[in-house]
Amino acid sequence: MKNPSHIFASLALSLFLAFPGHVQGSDQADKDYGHDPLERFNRGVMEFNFFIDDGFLRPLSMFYRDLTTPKIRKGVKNFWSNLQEPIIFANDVLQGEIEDAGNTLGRFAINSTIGVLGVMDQANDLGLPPHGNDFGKTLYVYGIGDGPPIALPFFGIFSLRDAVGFGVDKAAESYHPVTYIDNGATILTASNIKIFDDRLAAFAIIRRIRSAPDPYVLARTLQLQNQRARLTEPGEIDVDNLPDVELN
Amino acid sequence: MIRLLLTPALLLFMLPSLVLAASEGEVRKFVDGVTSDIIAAVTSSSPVPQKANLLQDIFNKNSNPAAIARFVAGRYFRGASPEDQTRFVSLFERYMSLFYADAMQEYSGEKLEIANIQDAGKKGFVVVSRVTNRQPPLTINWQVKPSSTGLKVIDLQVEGVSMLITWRNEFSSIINRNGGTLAAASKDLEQRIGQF
Repeated sequence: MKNPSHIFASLALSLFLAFPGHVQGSDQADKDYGHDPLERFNRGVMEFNFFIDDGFLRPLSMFYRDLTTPKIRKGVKNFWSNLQEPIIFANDVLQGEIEDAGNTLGRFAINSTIGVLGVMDQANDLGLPPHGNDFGKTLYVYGIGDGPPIALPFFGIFSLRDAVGFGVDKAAESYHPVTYIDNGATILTASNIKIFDDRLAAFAIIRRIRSAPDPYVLARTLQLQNQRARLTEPGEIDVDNLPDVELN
Repeated sequence: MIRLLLTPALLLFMLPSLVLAASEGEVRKFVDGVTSDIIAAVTSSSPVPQKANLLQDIFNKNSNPAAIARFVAGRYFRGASPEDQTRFVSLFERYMSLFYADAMQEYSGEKLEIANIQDAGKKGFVVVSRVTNRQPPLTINWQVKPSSTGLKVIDLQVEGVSMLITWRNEFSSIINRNGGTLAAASKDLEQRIGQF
């Protein structure tokens, strides 16, 4: 634990992959997180994920850290983020966010060229900051509710809607322009390396989760909240879901 | 005559809301003050337990740990004996101070900028702040609520993750798995406190 911002960032990071959830107040909290009809299955999957983490993911991530410099890791992360831009663009369009779509297209064009295939985020320096988007959010925009939590092997806990969205985004990668060049090898390699990067970023929070009395519940609570947060615009407050604390 | 009788009655009815009202300027000043106090405490050269004592004083003054403890324990709090309630609140206050003291012990000069303040009605105000001198910038929302003794910090939401909701879900699970008693949560808190 390095500093408050790291701590806070860690608190906000999700398990295994930082997939961008869920804040409920008062008795709503019990209702919401208590509604976990797949709990037994989910706990089993999370045990598997912890096993994979202990045996492979954590050691390989540390090996990756030792093998690289922060600058190299930043470049790899930028490269992966650039590969995601066409998928973000498609979701921007599906959500009718034309300005965001233009921004994403511009970012992809700039970073793929003068950004050396996306290794450098030149677009950000030129006033086009990155933003995330995904098909889970598109489904949310079209009015699809969260559904129950579901744990995915290797990838952690999602709402059912976001799990479907995640699957669609992953399937869309098969149609990514780059796959026509190398049959998907670049995307697969970049995605795998990105997992190590995410694991490094989530080091403190996973340690906290693993030392919790009930790691599954903590992982579920953090990940669903974090995923819910990505559904609101920056600075927007979801008042309905704020905790309702009686002071007097 | 009726009007004469109604006016004091109306004033009495309105009194709590008048007392508990706050302006956005007051909320901003309050959060600025709390932030300064916290930074002063965490940048002191004291070891973690003493920093936790300083933070506990700040929390007691600017928050309402007992109300937060009640929220965190939810319905289990209402069903517990007064002794168990008192014990839980006391342990939770200590745990919360140690948690934040530990989390902030390597604070290295980050600056918090208040971006905007939103009135959340009966839930108080949400102060949206950003830690800007880091990449990527980090959003921390402070939920602040007026009380009869002034403004109080209720919750911190970091990148959308609420500390209160997280604790509430954790303790619900602990209590559920240990016979549904608040004493189980107190026992867990004792263990956690011992780990700092």
